[in-house]
Amino acid sequence: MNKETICFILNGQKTEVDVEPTLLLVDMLRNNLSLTGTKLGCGEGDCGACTVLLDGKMVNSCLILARQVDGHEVLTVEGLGTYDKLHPLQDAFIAEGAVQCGFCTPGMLLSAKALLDENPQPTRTQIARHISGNLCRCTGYAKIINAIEKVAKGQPV
Amino acid sequence: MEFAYYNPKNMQSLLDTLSSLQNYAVLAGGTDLLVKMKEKLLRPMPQAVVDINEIGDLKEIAEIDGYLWIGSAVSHTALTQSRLILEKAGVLAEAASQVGSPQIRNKGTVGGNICNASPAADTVPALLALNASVEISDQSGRRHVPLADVFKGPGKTCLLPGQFISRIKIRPVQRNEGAAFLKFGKRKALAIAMVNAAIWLKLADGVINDVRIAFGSVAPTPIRLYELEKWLVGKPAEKELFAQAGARAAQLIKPIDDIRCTANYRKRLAQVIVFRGLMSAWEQAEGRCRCE
Repeated sequence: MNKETICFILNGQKTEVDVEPTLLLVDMLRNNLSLTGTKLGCGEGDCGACTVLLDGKMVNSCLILARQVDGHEVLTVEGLGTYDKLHPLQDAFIAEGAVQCGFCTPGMLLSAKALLDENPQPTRTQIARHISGNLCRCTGYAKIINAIEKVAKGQPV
Repeated sequence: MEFAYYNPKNMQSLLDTLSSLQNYAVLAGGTDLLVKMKEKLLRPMPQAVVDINEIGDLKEIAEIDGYLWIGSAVSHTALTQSRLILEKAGVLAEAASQVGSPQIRNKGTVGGNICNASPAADTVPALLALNASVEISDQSGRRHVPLADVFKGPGKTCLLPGQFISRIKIRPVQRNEGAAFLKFGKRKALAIAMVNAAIWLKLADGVINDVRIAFGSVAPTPIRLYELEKWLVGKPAEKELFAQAGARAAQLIKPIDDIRCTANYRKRLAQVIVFRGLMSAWEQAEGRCRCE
């Protein structure tokens, strides 16, 4: 099929990729760019494991064509922090034990970031509602909410 | 999946693209379309996908001559955050806030919700209760069609090849009017409605002057309960009347058993929804605060 070059900002870096029209964003991230932090769960927008931020908004990367991000900005978990300096949410998830199997974690972190960017001091209910599109099958929600709340309240990790 | 991808940058280019293609799908939010395409649920499978997300005009909400005009590519999130919608058509913001999940609401659009023609679409009962009409554009021009006439069956609309819903028009809710949206799903998030409904009501001196009752998930398309509306008009608004209306609604609808729940349970839900919806719309119409 006819490939076309798309150009977008990925984790702060200008990125060019040759993509087919049918390629999904999640597959481009994982297969073409080897960024396997973004997980593919259900592939139908139900589980949120593939959540990334597109122009700062949380979206399911399994339901977006790679071509659609041409000229836009994408943030994946790889762009959230570095090994030397984790993002405060990552520190808090570790400190609170908010990671069990870890499959939902990248999506959870990005959803949490989108929330705090928009509403720096959410209530517990607002946090729970906001992560309603991110399933954790280890059912570790309480600790995930604790971790997000901790960052929102500016508590030391 | 195999298809060609188009992303026109303006309306004219969109209409030209649509008229040049035989077998296409319009990509708005993609939250339903891409799922259906992955699962090969579309017959025939589209050979082309026309992405409308780069057309800024379709993402605007404006008030013109006393009406609200909503671009078809306005996302559910945008509806819930629009000052115009929140102040003048809160029932639509409420319905939009109950669609899917935050991720789905960020991508899913009001036009997509209509064109998908799901009997369970959440924004559609709210739009029907607000007596919405849609602007259908094609190369020959634009025309307006009542939203109720758009739906022809599950997944089927009146749109012909080359035609496209560009905007949705609603009248703001006025003083002496109230509107409510209610939904029952299996969960509070990411649940397709077992039953959803929206009710709009206009009072004049305590009497129901006009009313619209729209239901989803109880028929092959979203529906209005015209018979019940007629029965209510001219009667003094009061709790007992609304309880009777609920019982009548349950009699009037003909839902089916499916994977989400039974027909009987849907009738029971419809009864409760009509009662609660009328109560809520009544309180708003009377200017009483509905403290959540």
